[in-house]
Amino acid sequence: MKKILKKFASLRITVVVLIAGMMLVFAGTLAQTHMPIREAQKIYFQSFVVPVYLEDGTAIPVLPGGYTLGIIMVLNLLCAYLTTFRWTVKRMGILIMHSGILMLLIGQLFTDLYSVESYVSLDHGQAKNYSESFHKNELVIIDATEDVDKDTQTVYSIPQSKLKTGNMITDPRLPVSFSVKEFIPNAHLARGQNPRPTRGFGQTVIIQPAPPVKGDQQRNLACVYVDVIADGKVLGTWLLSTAFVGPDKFDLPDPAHPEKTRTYQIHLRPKRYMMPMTLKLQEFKHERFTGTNVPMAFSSRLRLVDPIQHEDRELTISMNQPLRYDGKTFYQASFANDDQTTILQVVRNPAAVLPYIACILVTLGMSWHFIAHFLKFFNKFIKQDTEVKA
Amino acid sequence: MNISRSKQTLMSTMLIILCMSTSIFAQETKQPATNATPDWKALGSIAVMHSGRLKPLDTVARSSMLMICGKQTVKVNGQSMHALEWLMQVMCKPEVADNYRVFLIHDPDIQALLQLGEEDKRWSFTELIPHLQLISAQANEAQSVQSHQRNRYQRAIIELYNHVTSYVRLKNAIAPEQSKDFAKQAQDAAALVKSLIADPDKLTDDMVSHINILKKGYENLAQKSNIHFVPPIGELEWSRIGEHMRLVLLGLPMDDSVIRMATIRKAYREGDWQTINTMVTEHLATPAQQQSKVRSEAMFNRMALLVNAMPIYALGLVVTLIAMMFKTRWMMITGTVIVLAAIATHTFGLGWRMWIEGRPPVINLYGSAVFIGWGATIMAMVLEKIYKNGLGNIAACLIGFSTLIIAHHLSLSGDTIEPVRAVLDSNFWLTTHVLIVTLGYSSMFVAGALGLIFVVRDVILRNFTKQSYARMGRMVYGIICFAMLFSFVGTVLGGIWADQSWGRFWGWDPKENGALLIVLWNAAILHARWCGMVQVRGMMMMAILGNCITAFSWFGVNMMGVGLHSYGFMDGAFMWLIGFCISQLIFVAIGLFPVGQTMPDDESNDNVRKQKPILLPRQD
Repeated sequence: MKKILKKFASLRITVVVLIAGMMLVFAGTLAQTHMPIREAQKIYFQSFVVPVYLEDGTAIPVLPGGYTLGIIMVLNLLCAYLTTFRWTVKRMGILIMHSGILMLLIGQLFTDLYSVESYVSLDHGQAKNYSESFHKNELVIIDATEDVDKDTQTVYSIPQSKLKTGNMITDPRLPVSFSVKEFIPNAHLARGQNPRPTRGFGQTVIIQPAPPVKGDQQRNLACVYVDVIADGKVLGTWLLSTAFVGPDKFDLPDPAHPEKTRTYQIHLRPKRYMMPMTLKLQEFKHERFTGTNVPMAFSSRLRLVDPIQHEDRELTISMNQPLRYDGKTFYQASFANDDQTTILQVVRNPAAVLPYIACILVTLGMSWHFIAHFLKFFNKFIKQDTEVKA
Repeated sequence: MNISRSKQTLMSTMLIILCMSTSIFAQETKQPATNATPDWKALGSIAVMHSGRLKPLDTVARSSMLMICGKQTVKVNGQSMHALEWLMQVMCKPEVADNYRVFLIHDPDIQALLQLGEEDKRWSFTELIPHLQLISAQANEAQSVQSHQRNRYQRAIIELYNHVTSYVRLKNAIAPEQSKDFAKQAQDAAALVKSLIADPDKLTDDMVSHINILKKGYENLAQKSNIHFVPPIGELEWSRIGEHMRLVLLGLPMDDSVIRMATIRKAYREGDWQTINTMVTEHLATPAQQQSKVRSEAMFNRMALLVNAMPIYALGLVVTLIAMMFKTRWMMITGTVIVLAAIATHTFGLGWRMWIEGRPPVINLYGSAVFIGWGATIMAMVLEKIYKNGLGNIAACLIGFSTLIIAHHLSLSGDTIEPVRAVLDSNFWLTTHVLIVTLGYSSMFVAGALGLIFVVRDVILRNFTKQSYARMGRMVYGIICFAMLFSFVGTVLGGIWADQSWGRFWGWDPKENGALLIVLWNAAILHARWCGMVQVRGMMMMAILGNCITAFSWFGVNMMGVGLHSYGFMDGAFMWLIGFCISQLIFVAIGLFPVGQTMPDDESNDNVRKQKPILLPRQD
């Protein structure tokens, strides 16, 4: 057993893993010229193997992915400490450094698994209590009958992953069922008569399927044709798209009062993450350098209202000065609409603190080790030098 | 022995300082013959607001000329003309300046498009006039493509279009290009408005249409220029002459700077240097012109320390090489002193630039080139101090010289002191993260340069002794340890900055990956050395490969033009980068050629001669 561990502890494995890591990072960087970062990240770094696709579609693994290398590195490190490492004070620097690196790797894994990124886009004077996903969408159905209080509406949300062509979506909690006729990940939209949908706004929109967007700044415009089914009866076919600003509506008989009807809204929209508080944009400031378009500074003045925590205050979010609230961090990310709209990036990352600790550890360990070495070397050298002179 | 050595040092130091100061300060102390020529020094010191920054006119001239022409001077009728004189010609005598061949067009597709022929790379504005519409149409077309998806031709045509636009803006900086006596026209306009304010009843229809024509003209002028000559008045910021004159029509009292600049223009047209010099002196005496940083920048431009350091580095290299060849002690000392003088010039230039900017030294690629070179030379000189074998000198000169050349080429894209974008606007992070990462680059290049020297000595010169072989190994090992420390700490600080401003510690962005590559490579070198996978020679080869990796991290990722860090985007240098990497690979190949002496890596191991191939595991 010890022998096997010792084999695993070899520094040669370390070197090979480091060089493989470099090849992976290099390939993952070059890949970004033709795909968005998040895609490259998934293929190269958040994977076990990186395949290359031949023309006929067969995948050949060419590089170990980020997870594989991470695991080997961690095992290699642990084995080294279990077997060959000499536990002396002189070597404590190395130990501290490596524990920091371990923490860095684990922190990155946790971030990959658990962090959620979204954004809040606020027009001047607008208030929102949710942030939206950059890439994920959801199909929602809302009971919007007049007797329902707008603030306590029930929203049924169906994630985009369920919207596969041919899927049937039924759930006893849902007032209706959906039959997904066709899901189109990205499309160009134009005005015109579309014969396929039989109900709703989509009848006046023609869609042209398009390849997924390449840049990181753009968003796919997803579209879906769904049949809405109530009590086994098809109410009609709707075309829904994230490009539509508002929801579509339809009425169903009220089960409690057969003489009345209930109004439901359906909408395909960016996935929303609810916040306990409301953010309202009071003012967006954007200063540029005189005579140029180079931004000098931009910042958002916001009003934060949290009825549960009894908070009602104004605050400013600017570049390098985020707001931390409710376990999330809000950053000034961008602006749009002729400086009338601010875009805040929202990040929830439970592992955010790990890299900080890791960095302190590695820096301490490395400085300890190298500086001690350097001093030893320098002293030896000065001794030699004086010997020569003498 | 010791006395003679210090004497030698002292003598050569004094001699070199004397030479340097006479050559650098000669220009500064030279007094122009009064009124026989314009006082260029004074003209160049005029403070103007241009692309978001208050700067001397001299900087406007130099950066515009470098951008349009790719050179510091332009040849006119066989005589070279400096940037400021060219700018004055463009602003004051555009009809003459239009015939100077300044527009650098080296893209073959554009040459073909404009049917310019290939005999010359530079073209005059007059020659371009028939093609202006085509250029603008093509540039417009290219602009509809997202910036990082444009091909070489599209980037080149947009660049040419921008150069033509900036040239036209310079022509209209003071007065409409066709105007002969703008001073009189402006004075008349101001007088007319004044009299009308005093007595509004005098207003006739003719006057209204006259004022309307003036207004159109001034609006046009404001649009066509981008040098802000008129100082702040009340709540107004620095403004263009056209902008200011439009306000004069609305009743704002005319600022004297307009008249002075217009008079200078007229006098320049007439060759009346005396009037120019009086006007400039008067202009520089106004309160708005009391900008010590601007004056200092003009002087900084004239002294061009960062350019002048280059020949000193080259000289230092030559002297050190000769000293090593003939093993002459005094020459070696002289060499060291010359290198120190070069570093002093470099340091002074760097510090001066920092003071003018009011920023840490690295805010753009230009700054990084200057700083990487500086950091590397300092490190190399520390090695020289320890080992006194001339190798530090050589490494310092190689890196100092080449980074300053790179910096010079980077300066061709315009003013190198530019406003800092909002995302970078944090002196704390610019100082910690950027400087430490940059020092990591520096140490990688020092290690790489030593690797190159190793190959030359080991394979070509074959002049290693056991001791010097091992010593060199220790030098590179030590430097790589520092490179590891700097690049790791710097990268991690970058992660923390990113976490603070973008909400993620690590995003696999190209620039971050570039830094990570350096960290991983250093870790690989060190671990390979520790486990005996490589010996001294293998480590040297890895250090040379480190040059490629550092160069990729520094420039390659900028050439990709993607990611959040792509503020330093650049074109055209790609071939150079590839060439550099190939040259390094050739050195590695030479180094692996089994002709050199193979030395034990440890002096105590004298009797263990290793004849085994390099880069293979040592068998215990």
